[in-house]
Amino acid sequence: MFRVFVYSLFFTFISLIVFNQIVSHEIKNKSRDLNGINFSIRSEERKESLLKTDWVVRTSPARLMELAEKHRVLLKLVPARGEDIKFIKLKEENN
Amino acid sequence: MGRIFKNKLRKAKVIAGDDLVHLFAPEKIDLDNDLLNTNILQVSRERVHLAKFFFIFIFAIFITRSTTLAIFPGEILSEPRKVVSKTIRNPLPEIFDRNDKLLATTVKTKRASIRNPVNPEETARLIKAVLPSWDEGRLIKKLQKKSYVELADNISDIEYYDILNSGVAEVEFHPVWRRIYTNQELASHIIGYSGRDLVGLSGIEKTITKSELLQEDIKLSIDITVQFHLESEIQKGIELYNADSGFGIIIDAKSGEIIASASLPTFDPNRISQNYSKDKIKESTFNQVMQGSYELGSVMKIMTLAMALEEDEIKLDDVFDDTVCIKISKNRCLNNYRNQSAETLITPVDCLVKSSNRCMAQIAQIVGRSKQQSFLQEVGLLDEYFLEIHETGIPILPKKWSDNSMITISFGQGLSVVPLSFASGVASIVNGGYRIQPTLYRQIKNDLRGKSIVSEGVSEKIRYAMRQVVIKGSGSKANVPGYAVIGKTGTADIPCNGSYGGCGNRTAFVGAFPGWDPQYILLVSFERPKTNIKEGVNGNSSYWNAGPAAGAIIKLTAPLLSVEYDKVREIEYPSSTKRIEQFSRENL
Repeated sequence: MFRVFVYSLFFTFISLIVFNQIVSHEIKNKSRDLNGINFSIRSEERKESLLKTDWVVRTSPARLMELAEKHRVLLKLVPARGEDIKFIKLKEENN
Repeated sequence: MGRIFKNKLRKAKVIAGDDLVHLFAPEKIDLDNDLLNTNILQVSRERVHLAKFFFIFIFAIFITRSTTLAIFPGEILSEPRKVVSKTIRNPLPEIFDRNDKLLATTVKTKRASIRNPVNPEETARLIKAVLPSWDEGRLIKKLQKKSYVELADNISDIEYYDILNSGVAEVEFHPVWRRIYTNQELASHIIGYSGRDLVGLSGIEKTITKSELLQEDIKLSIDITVQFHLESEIQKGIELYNADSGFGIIIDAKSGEIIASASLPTFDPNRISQNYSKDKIKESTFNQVMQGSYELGSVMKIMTLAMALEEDEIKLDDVFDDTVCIKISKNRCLNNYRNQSAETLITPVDCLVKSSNRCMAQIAQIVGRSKQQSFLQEVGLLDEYFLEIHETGIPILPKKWSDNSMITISFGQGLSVVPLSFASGVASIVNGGYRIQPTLYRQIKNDLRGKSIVSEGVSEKIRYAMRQVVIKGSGSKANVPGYAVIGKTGTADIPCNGSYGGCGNRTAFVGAFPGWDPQYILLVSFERPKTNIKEGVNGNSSYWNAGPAAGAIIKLTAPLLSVEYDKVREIEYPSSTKRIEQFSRENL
C-alpha cells in the first residue's frame, strides 16, 4: 500500500516537473517577446521625444515670424493689435 | 547520573549473549533496559519514515511553488518594467516657458570611438571617408599615440550607419545624452547652457546642477513669444542706432514674474561649447540685465519724486525755481542736462517732464540724504541681488554718501544699479505701492503683495507724472494709443577716466502699461547709441532711441499679453489736489 502511494507520488511529481518545464519554456518565449516590446517602446519614446523637439524647433517664434513675413501678402497677415484683442474678448463675453 | 547514561549507551548496543543472561538470572531483568533493547529497530524504522515524509513535504512545497509560479508568472515578470522606466528617464529636467512651450530638453545620441586599431593608416582613411571633418594626418597621429580615440560626439542615425558600414572593426558606440535648446539664441541668458557632461555652466542650467533639481520639470515665467519680440526689437534698435549693446526686460508688475529679459549681444547655447573662444564666451554670456550694474540716468528721478511725495515733504502743486544755483563744487553750479533752458517756477510734475536736474536736487535737499538712502534701500535698489540664478550683479554705491552724492543720485549719477532691481523698484512704486520680488519661476498665485513702500495715493501721483512725460515730454515716441503708456526716459554719460563726458552715453526708458493700472513694466536701454540722420534719428538721447524702441515693443507685446485696451481712457490728475492745481497753473 505504502509502495503504491510512493510510486503514485513519484509519478505525480515527475509529471508536474514536465509540466513546469513546458510552462517555463513558454514563459521564456513570452518574456523575450516582452523585452522586444519594451525595447521598441523605448525606441519609440526616443523617436517621440525627437519629434516633439523637431516640432518645437519648427514652431519656434523666429521661424514662425519668418514664415509670416514670407506669406504676409498672400494671407493678408498683420501684427495683432489691441483693438483685435478687445474685439475677441467682447465676443467671448457675449457668447 | 553519568553512570546510568553510560550504562544506557552500552545497553543500546546489541551485545552477543545478552538475551541468554536473562534465562539464567530472571531477577536481573531491568524493565527500562528491556524496553530500550526491544525498540531499537522500531525506532530506526520510525526515523526513516519521518525523514521520508519530511522529504516529501519539502518536495511538495517546491513543486507547488514552482507550479504556481509557472501558472501565474506575474510576480516575477512585473519587475523588469521598473528597470526599463528608470533608464528612459532623462538625466536633466526639461525646461518650459509659461505657456508650456519646450525650451530645453535632453535627447539620446551616440558617441563613436576607436579602441586599439590594428592598422591606423587604413582605419584613418576609412573614417575620413565617412566623417569628412577629420583631418587624415591628425587622425593617424592620434590613433598611433593613443589606444582610445574619440571620433565624433552626438552623431545622427545616418552617420551611425555610415560608420557601421565603413568597414572599421574597432569602432565602438556609447549612448550619450545631449542637451538641446530649441529656441537657440532666445532667452539664452536665462536658460544658460551646459557642458558636454550635462553640467550646467550658467543660468537656470547651473541652478539645476547646483541645487540638484533633477526630478521635476521646470516651468519658467518667461513667455517665449514676448521674449522673441523684445530681443528682435532691441536687435533692430542696436542696428538702427549703431549701439554697442542693449538690453530690455519686461516684468509683471503684480507678481514680479520676469516675462522676458533680453541682453544683446547674445549667444547660441547649442554651439557655445564648441564654436566659441574663451573670451567670446565670457563676453556673450554676460547678462546685462541681471549681472550688470549701470548708472541709468534720469529714470532715477522717479525714485526721488516718489520718495519726496511719500515723506510728504512736497506736494504736486509746490513750485520750484529751476534757475537757482546749486553748488556742487567751489565755483561750479549744477547744470541741467545739456544746458536746457530753465524756467523760473515749475511744479514737480513739470520737473519730471522737463527732466530738470536742478529741480530734483532741490527736492533731494528737502528730503535729506539719510531718508534718500533708506528709501532706495526699501525699494530694493541697494540689495545685493538674489534671484533663482547664480549670476547676479551688485549695485555700486558712492564711497561716502555725502551731500554731493545725494544731489547726483537724485538725478541718476553716482549710483550704479542692477537693471532688474531698478525695474522691480519702479514696479513697486507704480503698482499701488507694494514691493514685489522678481522671480524666474511661474507663480501659481497671481497677486504676491509684499511690504508697502509708498501709499496708493503717491503711486497714483507718480503714474500721472509719468504719463505727462509720455504725453508732452521726452517719452512721447513711446506712446501707444490705447494703453496710456507711462514712462520716463534717461540719458546718462558713461563715466570714464574718472569723469563724465566724451565716452558716449547710455540711454534708458522705463515704462509701464496700461497706465491706469500697470500690469507690466518695461525697461529698455542702449549703450553708446549714435545719430542716424539717414533713418530720421536726429539725436543720441533717449528720446531718439530708447523711447521709440520701447513704443515698438509695447505695440507688439501688449496684445500678446492680452493687456486691457481702451482708446479713450486717460489718467486724470489725482483728484485730492485737483482744485489747487488749477490755481498753481494760473500762477505759472
